[in-house]
Amino acid sequence: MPSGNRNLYRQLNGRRLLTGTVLFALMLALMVVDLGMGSSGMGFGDVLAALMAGPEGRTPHTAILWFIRLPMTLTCVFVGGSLSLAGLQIQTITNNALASPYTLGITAGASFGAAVSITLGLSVAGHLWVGTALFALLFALAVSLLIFHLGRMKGMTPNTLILSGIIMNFFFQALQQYLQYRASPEIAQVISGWTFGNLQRSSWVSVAVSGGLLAAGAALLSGWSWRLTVLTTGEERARSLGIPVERLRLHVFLICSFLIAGAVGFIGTVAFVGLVAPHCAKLMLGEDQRYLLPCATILGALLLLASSIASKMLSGGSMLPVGIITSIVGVPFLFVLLMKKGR
Amino acid sequence: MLTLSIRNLSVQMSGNHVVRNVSATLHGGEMVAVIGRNGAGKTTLIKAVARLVRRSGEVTLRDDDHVFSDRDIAYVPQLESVTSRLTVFEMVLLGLVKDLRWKVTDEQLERVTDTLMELGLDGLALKPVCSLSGGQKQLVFMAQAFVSRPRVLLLDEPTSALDLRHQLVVMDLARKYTQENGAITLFVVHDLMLASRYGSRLLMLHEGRIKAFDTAERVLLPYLLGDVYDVEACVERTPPGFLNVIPVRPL
Repeated sequence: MPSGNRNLYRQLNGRRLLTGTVLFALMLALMVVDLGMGSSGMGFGDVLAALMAGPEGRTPHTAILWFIRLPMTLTCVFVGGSLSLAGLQIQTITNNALASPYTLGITAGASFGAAVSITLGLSVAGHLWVGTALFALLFALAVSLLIFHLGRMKGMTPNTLILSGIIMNFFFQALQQYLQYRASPEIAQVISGWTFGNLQRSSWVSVAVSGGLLAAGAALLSGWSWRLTVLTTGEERARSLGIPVERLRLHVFLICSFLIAGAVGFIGTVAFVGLVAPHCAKLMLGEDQRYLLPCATILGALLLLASSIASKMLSGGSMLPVGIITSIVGVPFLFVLLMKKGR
Repeated sequence: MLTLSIRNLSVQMSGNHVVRNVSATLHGGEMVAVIGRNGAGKTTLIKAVARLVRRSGEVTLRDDDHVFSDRDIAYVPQLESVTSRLTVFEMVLLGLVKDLRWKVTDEQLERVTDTLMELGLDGLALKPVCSLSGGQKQLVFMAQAFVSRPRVLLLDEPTSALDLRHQLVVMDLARKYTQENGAITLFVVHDLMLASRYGSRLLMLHEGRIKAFDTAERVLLPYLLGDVYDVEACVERTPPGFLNVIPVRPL
């Protein structure tokens, strides 16, 4: 049966495409649910009507939807997608199943940047939150550039990446703790609050930045789907198949840095999405990045949307910081993963 | 006839000459075993031929009419642990990665299917590679190399960590491919009996230089083995006709 395997391979890819479509539809459904939830209840019909009315609509529902909930839901989708996509590719370039956006120390840099801005009370165009977001973004990118240059000098090996990440994490955590220690209790509380990852800091600016970076990053990475798939088979094998491993790692690292910076710069650090969602996607779809890459992105968005809905349900319409929910879900998952690996 | 010419090939790593001025000419249909003690530069030599390390010197692959590029050279690294969940079919397909676009063509799928059939792997096509035995994994990686129909096959210790049966299966497949396609195979091996059995010539490396390059009978000599491996050894012919080296004591 020479063509049997060819047909089975096609069927497998057909199933993957179907899974991706179902996940995408589920994401759209959860977006509508998320839009409908909040302190002022809104039914499905109200959500749809407010969406159709556009931002110029004059009803309270329209104002709530277009200026509060829609930016929050879209930011949630883009941040979840960015963290998952970055997590997936960091796992690929470090060849480490337990790597995540945290591994490279970029989020620690962003947290410190936010802490500096909060401590100094820096505002941009009269807005403190813009200053905080800008500083978080700048520090995240500065850390990335530092690791990038280290990688160019010493070779972009998985060990270089992971060790650099550990150094950055310790260094910036220590600096942030120093700031918190020296700050007034009020400021220390604001700094600590930033690290929880709160979707209430969303705005149309965060939608544009995180969405733009996700679209650009996903498009670039999709172009390297086959190369990234080869990289999952091991460095030596990838080289033997003609993949420029070092260059690919550098480029992917740079893209991941922007994705992470765009994701955590506005809403703060969100744990475990970048670890859990890629693993779920791998379990569901295998490792062909043509399917894995978009589906891991959708799953990241789904996971953060579910966390957002859960946080609204738990706090009766207001919102718990979503980072707390993702950690509560993520820790048991990580534990199960470790147990499975240990066996 | 296909010819692989290696001229003054040298590789330097961290200031050390790992491979020094290696020159050799290999012909189509020929299997050459690269032998030598640990650290002699065997793996580096075949990586240099595949241009996987920075090298100086010249490597030319040509037949009577054409000069071929590096794309016609396939390198199969040593078997290492595989954690990827890719299926056997997908892993073999990756052998065509230089030509793959988002949509895999019918011709590419056909080539994978045919290669799997040739190597008797069609029954494992949808199994994850990580779930296979060492011998099966090695066959999958051989299939990955074969699928692009390379003119030169470079095998780095293809039989290490394999049981006796799989050692023969893997080497028989390499020989079959080499002979049927008029290809050239260069394989690194520690087992000198496998070297004499499958290598039409043996390239003996010592400290990065060629110590001897000839048939097994002219290379597996006690004095050469003493120089290269620092062992006293005797060489005997086994009943099937292959040479076997019996190490007596370290020198």
